[in-house]
Amino acid sequence: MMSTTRATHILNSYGGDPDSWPAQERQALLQEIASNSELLHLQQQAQQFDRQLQSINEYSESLISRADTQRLANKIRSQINKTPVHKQDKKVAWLDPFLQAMNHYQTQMITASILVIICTVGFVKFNETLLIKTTPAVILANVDSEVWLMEQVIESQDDEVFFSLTEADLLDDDFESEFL
Amino acid sequence: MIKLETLSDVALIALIADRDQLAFNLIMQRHLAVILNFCQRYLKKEAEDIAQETFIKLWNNTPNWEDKGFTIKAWLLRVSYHLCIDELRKNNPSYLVDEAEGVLHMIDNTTEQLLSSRVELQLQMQALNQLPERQRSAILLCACNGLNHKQAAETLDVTVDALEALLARGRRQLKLLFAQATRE
Repeated sequence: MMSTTRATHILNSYGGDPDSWPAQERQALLQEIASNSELLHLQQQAQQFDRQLQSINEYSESLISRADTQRLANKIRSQINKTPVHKQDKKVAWLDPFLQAMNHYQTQMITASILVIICTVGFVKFNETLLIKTTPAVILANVDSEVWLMEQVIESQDDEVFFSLTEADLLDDDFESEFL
Repeated sequence: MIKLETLSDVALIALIADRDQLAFNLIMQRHLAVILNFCQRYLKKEAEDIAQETFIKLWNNTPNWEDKGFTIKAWLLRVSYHLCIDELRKNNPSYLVDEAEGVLHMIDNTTEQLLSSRVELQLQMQALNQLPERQRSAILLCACNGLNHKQAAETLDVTVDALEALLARGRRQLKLLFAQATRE
């Protein structure tokens, strides 16, 4: 069962031809129109308007001469003969050796990819460790506990010792007992 | 032997994918005037170029053709619509198709009999061109070119609800414009 509002909206949007209506609502709308004279009248008006639109379209199409269409068709034909290989084909052709190699060396490429990932992760980790070991703690430290720790160091050590301390030293459990 | 003319558009596309120019000619014969007419509702001078580009795209795309539920006509309309809109966005001075010029010319040179029917159609064409672009496109695709609601919505990149709203507003507005054109 379709509401009158929806039925009116469909007729106002898609016109009076049932073929133009959404397929899943077509049957319900036909039933609604059969039992509602106002909707039937609306459908007839919509059909009249559809015919008007169709004749405008046919008229404007009739203004295009056969000669013009033929001339344009010839132009298009000459264009497609000039460019037998289209852009996408060119791209594919350019990628072909790579794609073929990928197919041929699939296992090796997967292994190599895994190795590259492992190496990258290893390198990043190594760099992090190196950073902690070599960068003065005063640059890296921004955590409350470390600041407190440094304050203690400042009070008890001279500048030279302080700036030579690294993050690794701060993180070292033995450090606290040794200095404090 | 099967005649090429009896084949459906989809069957012809399969032949065009194998670079069959006769099949391509037949597709042009079936749809070129429709596409050219459609493009002329947006652009005056460039309509032919857009129609040409649309069919060249069809030729180039057929080797990788995927059936996405679009008829060939709907596909061609969709491509030409987007090409027209791209052209319009370049701020083309010939954006508005000026039908009024043609009407005045006809009034000066035609008989009374011709005036009554053809001028009325000319005026209605002019009224159609006065609609906002989105409403005009929705009407051209659905009412004039027979695309179903899903195809039209996809072509315009809108939801079906939005398409319905565009159609309803467009038809209402167009009725007013037709009435106004007839009164004048």
